[in-house]
Amino acid sequence: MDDFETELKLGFLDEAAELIQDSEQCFLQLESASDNPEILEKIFRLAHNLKGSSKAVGLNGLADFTHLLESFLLKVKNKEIKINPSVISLLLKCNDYLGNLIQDLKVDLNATIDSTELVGEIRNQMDGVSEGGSGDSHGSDSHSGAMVIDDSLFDPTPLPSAAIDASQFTEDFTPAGASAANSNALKEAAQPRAEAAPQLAAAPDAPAPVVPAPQAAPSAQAKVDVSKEASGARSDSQSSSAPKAPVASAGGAGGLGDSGKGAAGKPQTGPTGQPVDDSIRISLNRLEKLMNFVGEMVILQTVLKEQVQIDSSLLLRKTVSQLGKVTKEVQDISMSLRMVPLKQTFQKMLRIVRDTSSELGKTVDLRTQGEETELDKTILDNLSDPLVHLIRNAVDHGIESKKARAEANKPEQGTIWLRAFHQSGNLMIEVEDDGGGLDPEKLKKRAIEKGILSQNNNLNDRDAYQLIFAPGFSTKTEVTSISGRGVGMDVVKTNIERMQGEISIETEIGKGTRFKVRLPLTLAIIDAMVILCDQSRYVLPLSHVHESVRPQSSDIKWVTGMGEVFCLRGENLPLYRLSHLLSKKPTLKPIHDSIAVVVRAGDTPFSILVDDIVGEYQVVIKKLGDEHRNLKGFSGSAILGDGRPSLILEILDLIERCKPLEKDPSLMPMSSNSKSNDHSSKEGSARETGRAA
Amino acid sequence: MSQEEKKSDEKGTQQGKRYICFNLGTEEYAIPLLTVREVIAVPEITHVPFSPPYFLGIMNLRGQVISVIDLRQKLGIKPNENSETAVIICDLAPLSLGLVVDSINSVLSPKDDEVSEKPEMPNNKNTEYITNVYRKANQLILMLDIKKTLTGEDQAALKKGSGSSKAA
Repeated sequence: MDDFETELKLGFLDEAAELIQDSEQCFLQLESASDNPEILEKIFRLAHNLKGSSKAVGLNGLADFTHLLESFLLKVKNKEIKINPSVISLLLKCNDYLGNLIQDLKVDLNATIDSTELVGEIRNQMDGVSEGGSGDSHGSDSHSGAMVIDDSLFDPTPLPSAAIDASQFTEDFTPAGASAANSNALKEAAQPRAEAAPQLAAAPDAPAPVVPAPQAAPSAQAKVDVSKEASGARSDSQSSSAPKAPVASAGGAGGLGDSGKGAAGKPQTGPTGQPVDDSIRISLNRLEKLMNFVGEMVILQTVLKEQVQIDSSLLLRKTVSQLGKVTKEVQDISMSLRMVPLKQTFQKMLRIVRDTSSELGKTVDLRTQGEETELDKTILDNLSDPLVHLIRNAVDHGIESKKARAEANKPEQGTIWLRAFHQSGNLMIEVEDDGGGLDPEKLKKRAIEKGILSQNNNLNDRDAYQLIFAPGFSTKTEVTSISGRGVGMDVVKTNIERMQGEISIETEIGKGTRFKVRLPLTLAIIDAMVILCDQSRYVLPLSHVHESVRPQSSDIKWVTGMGEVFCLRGENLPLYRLSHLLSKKPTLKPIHDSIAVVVRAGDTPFSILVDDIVGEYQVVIKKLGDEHRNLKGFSGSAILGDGRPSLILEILDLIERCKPLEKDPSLMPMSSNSKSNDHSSKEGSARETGRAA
Repeated sequence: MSQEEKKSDEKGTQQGKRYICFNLGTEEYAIPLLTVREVIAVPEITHVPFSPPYFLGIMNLRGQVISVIDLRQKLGIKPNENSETAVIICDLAPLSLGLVVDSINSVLSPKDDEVSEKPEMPNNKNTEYITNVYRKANQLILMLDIKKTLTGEDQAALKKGSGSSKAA
């Protein structure tokens, strides 16, 4: 295959992945607003695009499947198949299938995934048109709103209900051909059905033709009426879940480059209405370059501004001050380019809630707020996994079973709120449920059973909540596909902390739990302390720094075999001299002129002796080139205010480097007889206490 | 900047490879012009600990952090004492690199008969990165393959550098 073709295909796959994402949102919206013709219109358009493009680039396997999907959707659109939870489940499954296929195709352009089962299901549904309409739609007609949702929730496998299927199936094989000829719509169905027959027979899940065809096909016209009625009734009674839609569309308006995705929720002028704000994709690399130049421009502009003050014409001064404003604007815009709205991630959660709750037989409504909140792309990518865990956790552990809810006088439907907002330069994400809350006593008991906690602990409630983040901790006794392994929350915490974030818990027994996640808006900029060592400046991430003190010589003791120990308020901290860590000449500066920086980054606190502190700044992190990849101890570099680059220290690595001097690492933890002593046996909480202290 | 622009103008009009010539100590060297992004005066350089002596550190080139090496130390040439030093910024596939040289002389577009094979000198592995030799009148210019000077050998050296200080 030539390069051009490959490139074309890869380009298409990127695009297709987006289409798939869009359509998933639409399917979910469809569930709450099944009578909305605009959504259907959009879904159909997306499917059509997908089919057209996949054929154009020669991915035939994909094209065949999407063709089938399209004809299925056409029926849905024409109301020949009415929308019910099982249809939506099927559509979502198709979407998943396509998503997986596209993922695989990206790796290997010839990849295929077996679709027989799905094809079978689609054809079943499609063929159901011939007669299934009557029975099926009557059924849901009589349902109350809640019941319609339940339908899908209790369905163990989201297959269409078996009885109807079977009858549809048999119908299809015998007199279907004849009846199909009668109605316009059925003509279309007949065509793909002919090819489907052999496949159906082979499909393992195809329902066996046990039920004889009981009914004759009603006319297509009648069916449309019935389904219209049914869908209308459903959307009325489903008003509880309806608020989702407006929120979603509101998010779309603010979304940078995302407005197209929100379009389904927005009123559109015509069936082919185009989103107003067009977007293009740019490689992060280019953005980075742009940011570099903008950063430099800002520095140059500052220099210019200073020079202009000395002596210059009025015009020049005016121009420079205008330039300053423009520069500021350019800087703001270029910084915002990396920012993407949370919308997509949030919408993914709708799906997670839907799937998880139906698997558990719970009714859960997810309400999102602040989808338009923006954050750095890199953080967003890393946020997805922890958020999925949190949401699943809320559905599984937070929301009680229907029975328990009824006993507690709560509405049967549980609610989970997912909120995002900015707060003092940070991004806050809250996951709140109205479930049972955390019981600190139970948590402690469980932790003792698991051996995470010792018997005679005096953990307060706050610390007890933190237990759920301990590795291997789970309140579930049996392992299910959703939870119980005790990995999830541990991963959540680690991932969030890796992004320099924090997670905290607020909970009340019987009322619910709220997880608060605080994240920096960007990873490209950090708060840093700039320190001086041997005339050179180094950058220390402020998140590592706990405090800095000017030590007295008497506070520092030399212990043979352990190195220096710094006694700070009864705590014995190992002391490392930065000049030694960087293998520089020992500074001649007397100790009482130096500064000890206390670092509590890892499990054990320690202190570093530096010459001086220059100040605290926000710095933009620049990666070091490939030529430094063997260089341990520096996580990157940052350009300081005067334009000079400076290295960002990775203190733990530096200490690691110097290990040969402190041969026995077991000596290090012993030196801390700190307040974290009482939990120092349990890893998880020890780390937590160190942070909170 | 203007210098750079001039270069790229010339490039369009002439065929064949062109080289930028510079002094290292008293010797003259040349590297392909196409690898050169620009030439600047020596900026402020931040030293990087644990690196070999010829590795001067990192510098800020308009927001990009670039490593700077002293080509003279690297090749073991004694620096010229009263020369104006300059930094050649090279674009080498994934990384950009600054080379400190004594002075920039000219841009050279050698004719075929002026370029000859490098002299074979056994026992001297240092000649690996010399691709050709340019000779005209009493001028002798050594043409460098900058990648060969840097990539394999340099990374090995860096590895060694970090290894040795670890052992220390």
